[in-house]
Parts: sequence; C-alpha cells; structure tokens
Amino acid sequence: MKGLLYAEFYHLRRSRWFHIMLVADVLISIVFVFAAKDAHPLPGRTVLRSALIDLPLMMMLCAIFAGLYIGPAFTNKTVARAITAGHSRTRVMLAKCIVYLIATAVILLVYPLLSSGMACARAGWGVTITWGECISVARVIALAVLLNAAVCMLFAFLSFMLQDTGKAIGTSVVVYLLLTILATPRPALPVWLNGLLVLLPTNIARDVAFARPLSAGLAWQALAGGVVCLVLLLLLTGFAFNRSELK
Amino acid sequence: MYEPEVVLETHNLNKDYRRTRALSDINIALDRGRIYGLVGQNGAGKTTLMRIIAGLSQPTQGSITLFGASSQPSLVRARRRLGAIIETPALYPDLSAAQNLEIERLIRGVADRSRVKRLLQQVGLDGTGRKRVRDFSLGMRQRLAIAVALLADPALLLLDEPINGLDPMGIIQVRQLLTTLAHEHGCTILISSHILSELDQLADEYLFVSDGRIIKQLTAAELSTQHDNLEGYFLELLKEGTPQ
Ligand SMILES: Nc1ncnc2c1ncn2[C@@H]1O[C@H](COP(=O)(O)OP(=O)(O)OP(=O)(O)O)[C@@H](O)[C@H]1O
Ligand SMILES: [Mg+2]
Repeated sequence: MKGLLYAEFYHLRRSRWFHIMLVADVLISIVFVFAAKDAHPLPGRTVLRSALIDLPLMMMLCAIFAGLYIGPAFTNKTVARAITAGHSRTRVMLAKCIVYLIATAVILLVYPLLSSGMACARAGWGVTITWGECISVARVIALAVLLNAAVCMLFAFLSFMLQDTGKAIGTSVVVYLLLTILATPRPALPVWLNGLLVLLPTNIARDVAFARPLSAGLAWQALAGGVVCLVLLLLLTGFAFNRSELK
Repeated sequence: MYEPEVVLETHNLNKDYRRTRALSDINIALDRGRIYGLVGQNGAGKTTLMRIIAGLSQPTQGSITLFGASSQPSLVRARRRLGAIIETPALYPDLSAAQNLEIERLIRGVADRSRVKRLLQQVGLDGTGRKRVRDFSLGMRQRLAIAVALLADPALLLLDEPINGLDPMGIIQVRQLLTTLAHEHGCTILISSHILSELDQLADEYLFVSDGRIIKQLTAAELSTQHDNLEGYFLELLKEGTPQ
C-alpha cells in the first residue's frame, strides 16, 4: 500500500492536468477576489467565510479532474499494471482515491486561502487572533474539506465505474449540475424528498458555511454526515471495482 | 527459497462473455525455466488466458495455481513475481521512460534504484532522456514495456505479442534477452505471437489454441521430428481441426 501511495504521488506531482487545474484554479480565484472588491476592504475572517460559501463553484474543477486523473489510468492500463504487480484491487482503488481526494482538497482550498490571505494583508483578520479563534477556523476548514471530499468521492466512483476519461467527465459534470440545482429547496418536489436533500453533503457544507457561529450540534452532524457518505461511497466503489471487468 | 518446478497450473478454466465462450476447459501446467509459445488465430483466446493469469479478469469457472498459491489473497501476493505485457503496453504517456520505470519500482517496492538505469540500457532506451512516452514510436513503447515487465526480476513472464513493432535489431535483442532469462535465470515465459518464424526460434514448447481450447501441446523437439517448421505444422493443424 505504501508503494502504491508513493507511486500515485509521484505521478500526481508530474501530472500535466494537475498543474493545469492548479493554474486555472489560481486564475479563477484571482478573478473572484478582484470581482468582489468592496468599497471598504473586508477583514480576512469575513472573506474566508464568504469564500467557503462560494466553494461549490470550484467543485466543477474537481468533477473534471476526477475524469482526467482516474479515466486515463484505465485507458492507459496503468490500473491493470498495478494489479499485475501483485496488489489487490481494493488497495489499488484506495491509493488512487486517497491521492485524488488530497488533490481535490488542494484545488478547493486555493481560493479561500488566497482570498482571505489577501484580505488579511490589506485589512487584517478582523478579530484578535486567539486559540479559540484558530480552533474555530480550523474546524470550519476541516469540515469543508471533509464534506467536499465526500462529494468528490462521488465523481471518483463514477470514474471507476465508467473506466473512460470522456464519459467520466461528462457524467461528473452532469451530476455536479444536478447537485447544484438541488442545493436550494425545490417546492415542486414532495416534502419528504426535500427533507432527504438536506442530507446531501453539498447541502450540509452550505449550512456549515452559512452558520455563524457554527453550533456544536451542526458541527457533529456535518462530521457524521461527511464520514458516513465518504465511507459508503468508498465501500461502494471497492465493491463494484472488485467485480468489474477491467479494460 | 523453495522453488516449485511447476510455476503455473490452470484447472478447468472457463471464461464466458455475454454471447461468446472465450475459454473452455483449459488445463495447462508451465514448468520453471521454459519458454512456452502460445499459438492461435485471432479470437482464439490467448489474451483472455493471459488476462486471467494476470488477475485482470475473473474466470467464469475453474481456478489457477500460481507459485503454489491458489486462494485469492495468496494469488494476489504471488503476482508480485509476475511480469506482463498484455496486448498494448501499459505506460504513463505523460512521463519519460525513466519515470515510468521509477513508478514501477515504487509500485513493486524494489529497493535498488540503479535497476532503472540498467534496464534502460538493456532495452536500448537510455538515450531518450526527458522525452515523454506519448512521443515514443511503437517500437520504443514496446521496448519500454519489456523493461517495465522485467523490473522486479519476474519468475513468470506473460508476453502477449511483445515483438509487435520492434525493428530487426530489437527482435534479435529481445530474443537473446528472453532466452538468457529463461535458460540461465530460470524465468518461465508464456509468449504469444503471430510471427511464427520468430516463435519458432524462441519457444521450447508450444500450446496451440483454437476456439478457447488447447487443441495440441508439444515440445519444440517433438515438432521438429514431425515438420520442418512451425508455420507448416500450424496450418496443417487448422485444416485437421476445421469442422466437418
Ligand atoms: N471484453 C470482451 N467482451 C466480449 N467478448 C470478448 C471480450 N474480450 C474477448 N472477447 C472474446 O473472447 C474471444 C477470445 O478473445 P482474445 O482476445 O482472447 O483472442 P486472442 O487469441 O488474443 O486474439 P488475437 O490474436 O486477435 O489477439 C473472442 O471471441 C473475443 O471476441
Ligand atoms: Mg490477443
């Protein structure tokens, strides 16, 4: 497993698409930062919170990146190579998903960190920085990372199922758009369905981003929701991948 | 380490795809240090057999024993001593030849870093430097795939049409390399090729496949007493085997 992870990181660091994604990411972030220029500069704390609310926009990059990173591993047969080298499918899948999720966390965090960092340089953080403040910021960021990983895992699952770059990107983008539509309550849908939609990690992430301050109850709910969703999707991906015919 | 004489055994291997039966009742045993030539027409089942041995596809029925291992987890571990090229080379196109080998070194947990350089020299790719594999010619890819397959000192090599696209010099080099590996280092090789004149010079034993069955198995010595070359024998075998 260690060898597989090393190999995945070795590849990610040299992956052209990952570099392109990061450049696109930084450019989009800079555009956002300047587009949101207010009359008087906002403190870093406020900017970080509003960046987390905008985070789902960046999720699009992760949906595309799933296909670009996992799809070619099937078409170039490098997944097959790892299996032939004596690794179980479960481990091959896990190593790939872990590295993909870390890459998406990096992609997603560029915007909030960049924008709040710049705001902080201009107008300061907004409150005196205490231990409590540090912990509450770390908690909000950690929950955002976890919940977004749960959503990204859905794209990874699709890529493992489809085993094809083009199809994976197409389907992931459609699913992304669907999740975006379902992020606001739909009066046309039955009440119970709207009730279930609250449990989508995208929607929990939105609630967490809007909550000021974040209550302990919501934090626990977000933690549990994120972990359950992530683990379920990993199990599902492992189960399906173990049974699928490899390309 | 204890080395079994029989490296690979298959037991009543069957593989069905939705409408086609790709393999039926395959029972073979491969001995240590021998080169086996797998001969058969397009669609005979050669690739399917290799994919099952490599763990890329599950048999519908039957099982395999690899280096004495037959349970699922022990089979996975046994595959660490397997090297394979199945159909097209499996490579990272956005990496260089050396980087491709480095990744394989990491995946296989091979500690010796100098192997990468030595293998590149061995397959004649040491001059490619930072050139990416996507810009390689077919023969260069094939050479790199051979280096990847050899990286972990495999005890069993599965080579599905490995000499496709190689230049004459490359074919000679690969032939010498494989012969040395098998006869001096005890590596077992299962190789398929449609270039029968080449296989003729390489294999110690032949497995003839037709319609997913092994229709004949004989040694190179036996074949030479019956026929002057492999091609002629194969054509005759096909004529005998055609349905009445
Ligand atoms: N994924 C698949 N789905 C359905 N049928 C398949 C699949 N893979 C192989 N087959 C069928 O299995 C049979 C054996 O195919 P295989 O690729 O093993 O032949 P082969 O001997 O390697 O042929 P070639 O010399 O052309 O490479 C063929 O009839 C083929 O159509
Ligand atoms: Mg084939």
